[in-house]
Amino acid sequence: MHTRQFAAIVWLALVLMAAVHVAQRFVTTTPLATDLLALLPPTEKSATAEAAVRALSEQLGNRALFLVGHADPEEARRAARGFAAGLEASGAFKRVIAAAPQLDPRTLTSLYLPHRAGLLAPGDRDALAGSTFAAENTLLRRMHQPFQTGLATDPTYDPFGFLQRWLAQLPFAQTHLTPSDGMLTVRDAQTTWVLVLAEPLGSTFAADTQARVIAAVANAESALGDGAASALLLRTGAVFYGDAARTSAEREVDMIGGGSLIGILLMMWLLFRSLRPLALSLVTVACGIVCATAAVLATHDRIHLITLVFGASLIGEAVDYAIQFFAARLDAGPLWQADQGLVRLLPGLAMALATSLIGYGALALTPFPAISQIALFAFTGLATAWLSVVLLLPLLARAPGPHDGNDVRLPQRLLCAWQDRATPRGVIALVAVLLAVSIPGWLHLTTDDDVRQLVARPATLVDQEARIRVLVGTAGGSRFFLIEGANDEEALRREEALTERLRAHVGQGLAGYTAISGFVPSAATQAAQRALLQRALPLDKVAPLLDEAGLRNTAAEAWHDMLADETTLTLRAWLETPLAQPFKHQILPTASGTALIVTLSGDDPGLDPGSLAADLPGVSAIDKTASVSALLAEYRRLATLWLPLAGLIVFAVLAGRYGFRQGAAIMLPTLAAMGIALGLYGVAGVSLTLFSMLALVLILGSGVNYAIFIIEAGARAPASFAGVLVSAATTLLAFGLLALSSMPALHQFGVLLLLGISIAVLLAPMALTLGGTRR
Amino acid sequence: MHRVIASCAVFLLILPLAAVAGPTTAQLAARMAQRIEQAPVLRADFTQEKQMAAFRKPLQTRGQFTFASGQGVIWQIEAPLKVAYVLGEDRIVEIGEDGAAQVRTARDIPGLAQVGALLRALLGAQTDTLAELFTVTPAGTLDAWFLTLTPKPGLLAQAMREVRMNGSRHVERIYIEEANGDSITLNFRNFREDRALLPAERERFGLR
Repeated sequence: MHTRQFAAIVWLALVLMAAVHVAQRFVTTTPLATDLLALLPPTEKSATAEAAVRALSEQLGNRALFLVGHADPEEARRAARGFAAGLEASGAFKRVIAAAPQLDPRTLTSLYLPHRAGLLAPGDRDALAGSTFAAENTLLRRMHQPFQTGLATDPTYDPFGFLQRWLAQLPFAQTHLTPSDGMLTVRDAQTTWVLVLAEPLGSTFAADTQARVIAAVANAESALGDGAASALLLRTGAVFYGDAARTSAEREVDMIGGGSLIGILLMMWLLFRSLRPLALSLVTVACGIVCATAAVLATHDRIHLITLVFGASLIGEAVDYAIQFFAARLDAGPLWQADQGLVRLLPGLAMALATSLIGYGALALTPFPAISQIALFAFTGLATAWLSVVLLLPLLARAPGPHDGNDVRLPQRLLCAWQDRATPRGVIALVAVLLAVSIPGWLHLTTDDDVRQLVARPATLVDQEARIRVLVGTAGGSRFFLIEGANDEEALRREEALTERLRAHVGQGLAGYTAISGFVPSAATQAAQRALLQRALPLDKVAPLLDEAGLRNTAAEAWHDMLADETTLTLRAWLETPLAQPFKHQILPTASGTALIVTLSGDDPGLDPGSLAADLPGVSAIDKTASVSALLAEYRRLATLWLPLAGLIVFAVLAGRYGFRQGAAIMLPTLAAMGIALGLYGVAGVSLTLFSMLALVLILGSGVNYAIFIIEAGARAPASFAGVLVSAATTLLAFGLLALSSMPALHQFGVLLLLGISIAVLLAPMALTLGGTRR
Repeated sequence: MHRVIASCAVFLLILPLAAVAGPTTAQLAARMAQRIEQAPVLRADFTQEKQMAAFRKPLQTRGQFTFASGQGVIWQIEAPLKVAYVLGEDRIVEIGEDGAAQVRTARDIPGLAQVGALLRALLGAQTDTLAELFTVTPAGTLDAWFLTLTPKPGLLAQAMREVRMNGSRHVERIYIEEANGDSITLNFRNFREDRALLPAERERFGLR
């Protein structure tokens, strides 16, 4: 007796410590993660590729992008300036940029002019190499053209316009935005749009940052409506997706948690008609949730919202053990002896826990940080709720309840009616028919490994992002090339080999690309181009042309000096200039040298970066979306293989206690339920995803619980059977609510769990028919 | 970005009629709209003189242009070399003496689409587009007007100090003073109004 009480007190103390730990963590910081990237495991082969993916997504993710639109351009700019000022004044942003970047042309010319001999636009290089360059005509055209499309260069230093054409083709902004009155604008049929960029102060994924940003944007947006005709606003940025994910997850935690609780209380009240079982059951669930949260926080920096949403649905399953305990107490009536009751219940409860843990344990092995976190949460939550039932309830519910089970005989009567009519042969025939009906569905099963199932993206944000992409002309940045070299020079040379190929595809499946070698050719290329100029346009050929054109003598001297100067422009020198600022994320130092990123504009699915990069040394095509999808597919296949194995383990556990025949009888309803659910999926045309496969593993682990409870207690105890029904109802309620989640992965979990467990519960009495009551 | 700047030399031809603010402007714009409606095609001869520090003497150019409302401009240089520039909505075609055409589209030159938009705005007398680039000061009378265009702060102002122009029914003279002290003077004469393009011109604009 004393050991019992001691164990209970130690247990309570442990739970309290966990509670204090959790409370502390939530008070000092907000250990909630909403970062969608945290959902994604590393997918790339090399660490450099992962670093490149990170660098690109940070570049895109750390800022919010707005387009302020109005039919009247002047009004649009005025509105954009007001909007930017509003954001600035809010203090929610580190930086708000509404002005077009003022790139001083002198910065450009002073950087490139000294090295111009080595810098040729592709067209000029081809013409010079093919001896088709018409020097005199080019000179005359340059002198007499009515306008110039490019930055003006001094004819003394650039008589043929080589530098001018080099500068004009620099891959600066591969967008449709053009500066107008100091702001970047783009126009569509009716509207002039003005770009405003803002960098949130603080982490984009922190709840307080998100709240400040959302409030500031809402404020500034409402001010947009003050003008004569209100301006339009489009927005995109990780901060908005993060906030939407967080608020919807919070709503779902409330809905699922609250809904489950209300449902549980209602059903338990129907069953027990007494407050004590309700309160004590909730205590065991609370212990589970607290310990689960503590376990996650002890092993992870932050708890992901997806975990909390799923965790909220776990209440419905964790309460099952307490329900079984109190149902047994109800059945015993005035004869209740807590310790004996527990001894009788324990094996069944242990079986139920073990099979559930097998299911969640399988989840813990997936490589998705968020999914394995869910598994840890569920594993700890169920185990500690179970321990709380076993350690605390016998002490807290020693006295018999005020009622006996006679009030809840209806379910048992139904069960007896089933028992009277059902024969083993009939039951097997029923299963056979149900499965036979499911076969056409199985044949139509499809799979889906799209990465979007990980992410809940509100349609309004997706629409705005799509419009912004079309207007601005940017790509998503999930596809790019990674070029690795032992040093800057090798990386640049390898990149040039790639861009040589890419150039042929521009306009055919490729809108454009941004490569660093477009700004700084490799030293080898610069030397080759200088040699080409020296050969094609030596001073003795050029000097008379310049003189005849009327240029002063300084032009010929400059030409001589240019050909003689052999210094090359280096990547490091270029990086020091303000020009390099927007492209710095495309250059990564690596352990073994330099890595460069070539980004693509336009997301044409027809382009196959993999085949373009093939056989180029050091060049790899990275497609994060495709890699994640491939990973999802791989783990879906693994889950498919794991499923029968998990089935065998569950069966082994069951057979250990119940023997072969009864174990099989317990498994059958769940297996049949899985088969039927899959058949329904096939008929309905719903695709199977990794998450539905994982849900099947959970069905296997949790679906057998009800057959176990029935076999353990069902036929002889009315309240226990009613308890089984209440347990099933609470679980189904929780998973049903989970099916309403906006997070596709959780939604898929919820739907299949709801479907599979409903059928498993409905079929559970057949375990009794086939296996008989446990003696 | 800076590409837009440059294209102005040609487009400035028709600037005054659309860009000015004030009653005179409105009258000029109305008259221009009326003129375009009567004769959507305008042809004229031009002479261009560039004063550039790099050259020992001014550069003289002469030729003729065709301005077609809704299509664009053909700028035909006759001397000292023969070359034609066809400025359409989203492309520039450069045609040499040998007939070899070099096409540059909005894809090659990102600013080009905006040039096209600017052009359309000019022809449609959409003052908003022009006022984006310049502060416009009108003077004179409806029949003998003068305009001073000052680039708004920005890249344009870095390249160009001032534009002065005058005309009556048509633009007759444009003087552009660049920031580095170089200057361009364009004189127009022998104006021919027409209701339609000639077949050869249509072909250059890529019309059947």
